[in-house]
Amino acid sequence: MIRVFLALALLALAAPRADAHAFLDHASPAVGSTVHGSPAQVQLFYTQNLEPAFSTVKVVDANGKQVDKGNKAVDPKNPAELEISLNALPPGDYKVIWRVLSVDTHTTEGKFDFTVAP
Amino acid sequence: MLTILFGDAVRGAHYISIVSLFGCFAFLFLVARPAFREAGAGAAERERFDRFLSLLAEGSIAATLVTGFLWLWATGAGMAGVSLGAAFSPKLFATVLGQTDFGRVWEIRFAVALLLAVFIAFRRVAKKPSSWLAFAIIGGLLAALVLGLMAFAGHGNDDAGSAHVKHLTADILHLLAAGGWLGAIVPLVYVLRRAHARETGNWLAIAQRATVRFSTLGLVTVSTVLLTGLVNSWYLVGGLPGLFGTTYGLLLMLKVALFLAMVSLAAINRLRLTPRLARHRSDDDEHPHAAHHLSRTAACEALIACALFFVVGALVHLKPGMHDEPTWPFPYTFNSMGNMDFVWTGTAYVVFYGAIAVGAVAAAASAAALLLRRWGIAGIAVVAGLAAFYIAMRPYIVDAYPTTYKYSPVKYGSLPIAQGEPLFAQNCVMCHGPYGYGDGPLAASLPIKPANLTEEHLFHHGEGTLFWWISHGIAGTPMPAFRSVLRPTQRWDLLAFLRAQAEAEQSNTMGPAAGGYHDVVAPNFAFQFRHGAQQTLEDERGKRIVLLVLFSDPGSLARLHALDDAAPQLEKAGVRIIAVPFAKNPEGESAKQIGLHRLRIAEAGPDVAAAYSLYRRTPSLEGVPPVPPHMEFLIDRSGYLRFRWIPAWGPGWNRMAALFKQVHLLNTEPPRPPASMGGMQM
Repeated sequence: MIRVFLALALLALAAPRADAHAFLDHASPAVGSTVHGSPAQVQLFYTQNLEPAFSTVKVVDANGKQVDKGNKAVDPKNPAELEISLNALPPGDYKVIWRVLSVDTHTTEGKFDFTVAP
Repeated sequence: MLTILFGDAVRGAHYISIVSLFGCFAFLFLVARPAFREAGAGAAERERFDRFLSLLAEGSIAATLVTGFLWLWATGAGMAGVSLGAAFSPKLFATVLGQTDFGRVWEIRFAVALLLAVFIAFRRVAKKPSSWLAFAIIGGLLAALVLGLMAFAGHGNDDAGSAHVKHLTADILHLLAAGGWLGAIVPLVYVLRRAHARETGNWLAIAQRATVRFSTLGLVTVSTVLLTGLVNSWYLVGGLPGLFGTTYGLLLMLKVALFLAMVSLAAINRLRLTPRLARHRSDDDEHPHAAHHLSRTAACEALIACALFFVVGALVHLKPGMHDEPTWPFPYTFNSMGNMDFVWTGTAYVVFYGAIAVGAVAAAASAAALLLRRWGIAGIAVVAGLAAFYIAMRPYIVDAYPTTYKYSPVKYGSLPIAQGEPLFAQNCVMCHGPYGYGDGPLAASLPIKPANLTEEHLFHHGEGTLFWWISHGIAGTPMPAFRSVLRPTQRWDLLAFLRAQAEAEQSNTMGPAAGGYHDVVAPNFAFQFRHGAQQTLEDERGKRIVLLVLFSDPGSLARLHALDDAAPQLEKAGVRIIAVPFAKNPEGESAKQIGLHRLRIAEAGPDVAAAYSLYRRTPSLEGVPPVPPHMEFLIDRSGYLRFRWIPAWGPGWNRMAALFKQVHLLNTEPPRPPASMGGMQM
C-alpha cells in the first residue's frame, strides 16, 4: 500500500505533457506525408490560439520558389488553425515554413515537408 | 538579445511602479488612516504625511505610464521579430493594439492608468485635498485594476476551461497581495524614519500603531502570495524537470529565494523589532533604536523586492517550464515505475518499510523538538529523517541523463515507424535480433546479453532516456553510440519503431474476440479517397470506431464484397471502414472496377501496411509469422488497437455477427483516456 502511495507521489513529480503554447499539433497535408493530387490548401493546427496579425506561413517547392497564394489566415471558427491556399502543385517535394504568435505573446516557428504524388 | 534584455528590464520597472502605486493606497487605507487616528495625530503630521504620499503616488503613476509604454514597444518588437528601432512605428503599434489580446488588455490598463493620473493630478491642483478615505478608495480601486489586469497579459491567459479561471484568479490575487505587501513598505519606512528622527509631533505613537497594523497586513498578504504562487507554479512549472531543467524553473527558484529572504526580514521585523518598538515611550531618554532598525530592515526588504520584480520581468516573457524541454542537470532521478535493476528481496522489503517507519518517527520527533525549542534534538531528527527518506527512496532512484525528460518531436504514426524499421535492420539486428528479442547473431559472443527490446518495461525508462542510450550508448555495456551514425530525427523514428515493436509483442494474444484490454496505441496515418482531401486516423478520435482492413487483390475480394454489403449497418453502429491495399494496385484499380458499391478503397502510403504488419505477432515460439495477405483491426474511439482478425487463424469476422459483437462491446464500454501520441512538432 505504502509503495502504491509512494509511486503516486513520485508520479506527481513527473512533468505532465505540454498542452499549451502554440506548438504544431498536426497539419493537413500531414507532416512528412505523401498526398495524391495537388492539395487545395495547407492547414496547420496548433495547441493554442494564435494572433492572426503576427502568424505567418509559406509553402515553397524544392527550388525554394513560393507556391502558395499568399492569403494566409487564421480560421475565425477555430483561432488555433492557420491556413493558406495553394497553386496547382505538380508532383514533387514541398516545404511548409511557419512562424506563429500565440495569445500569450510567445512566438514559435518550424517547418516540415510533404510530397505530392500523381 | 538587446530587445529581450530591454523588455525584461522594462517589465521589471513597470511591476515596481504599479506595485508602489497600489501600495500607496493600500497603506493609506489599511495602515495610515487607523494609525493616525489612534495615535491622535495632529494636522501637522497629517499634512506632512499627505505631502509625502502624494509625491510617491505622483512619481509612481508617472513611472507606470512611461514603463507601460516602453513595455508595449518592447513587446511589439518581440512579436514582429524586429529590432527596437524598427518596432518604433505607428503601424506596428496600431497592429499590436488593435489586433492582439495583449494590445487590447494594454489599452484598457493604460486608459485606467491615465484616469488615475488625472485623479492624482487633480488632487494636487485642488486647493483643499479630498479626504484620505476617498483618495484611498478611488485611487486604490483604479490602481487595483491596473495591477490585476496584468494577469490577462501573462501566462494565466493561455490555459483552457476551468484551469483558465483558477489560474487567472490565482494570478490576480497574487499580484494584488504582492502589491499590498511590498508597495506599502516605502510609506512605512517614511513613518519609521520620522519617528527615529524624533521630529516634533506624535510620530513615535504613529509609527507604533502603523507597525502593528502593517504586521497584520503583511501576514495576510504574504500567506496569499505564498498560496497563489503555489497554484500558479502548479500550472506553469511542470514538476521537478521543469524546475531544475529549464531557465524558467531556475529563475523561479531565484525568485523564491528572494521571497524567502524578504520573509525572513519580515519575520525579524514582526517577532523582534515590532514588540520592541511598541515598548518605547515618547519620554524615553533612550533613542528609539527599534524604529531605526525597523526602517533599515524594511528598506532592505524593498530593495530585495525590486530585484525580485526584475526576475519576474524576465519570467513573464520566458516559456514556462511546463512548455519547455527540460535539460535534466542531475545524474539521478526518481522514477515512479521503480528502478528496473532493483530486486525486491525479503531484506529489501524489511529495509524499505523499516526506513519508512524510522522516517515517520523522525518527522514526529523533529516536530516535537521544534515545539519544545530543543534545537539540537530537532537537528538530529531532521538528519535521521532525511537519511531514512533516502534509504526508502533508493528502489525508485534511477540513472538520468540530460535528455531524460525530453519528448520526441515526432508524432507516433505509421510514417516514423516505417522509416525506423530499416534503421533497426541496419543498426540493431546484429545484437538485438530480427524481432528485438535480444538474440542477434552477435548476442552469444557479448559479455552482457543485449536487451530484449520487446519487454513491457522498455518504455518505462521514458523515451528521453532511451534516446540518450541510442545516441550515446550505455556505459559498462556493449551498447554503442549512434549519434554519429543516425541523425536525431532518425533516432526518434527508430524509437517510434521500437515502441510499435514492443507494443505488438505485448498484444500477441489479441484476437477477433479475445477479451481483455491491450494498451496498444494505433499508430496515426494519413489517407485519401480518390484524390480528395487528406484525412488521418486521428480525425476519428472520439467520433467513430475504425475498422482498418489491410487487403490484397484478388485474395480479399470476397471479404471486401461482404464488407460492402454490411457497410450500411456498420456505419449505423458507428464504425468507419478504412480499407487499405497491402500493395498499391498496379493500375490504380478503383472500387467500382472490383464491383464495390458503398465501400471505398483508401489511398495510403506504403508506410501504413508496413507499420500495421508489425501487429501480426502471435504467442508462438517459432518467431514472428510471415505477413498475411489480409488483416483487420478494430480501433476504439480513444485511439487504441483493440481486436484483430487474421483469416488464416479461423472464420472469425467472416461471421459478421462476431464483428458486430465486438463493435457492440466498444460502443457500450466507458470511454478511456485518449491514447498518447507524443510528438511536439517544432
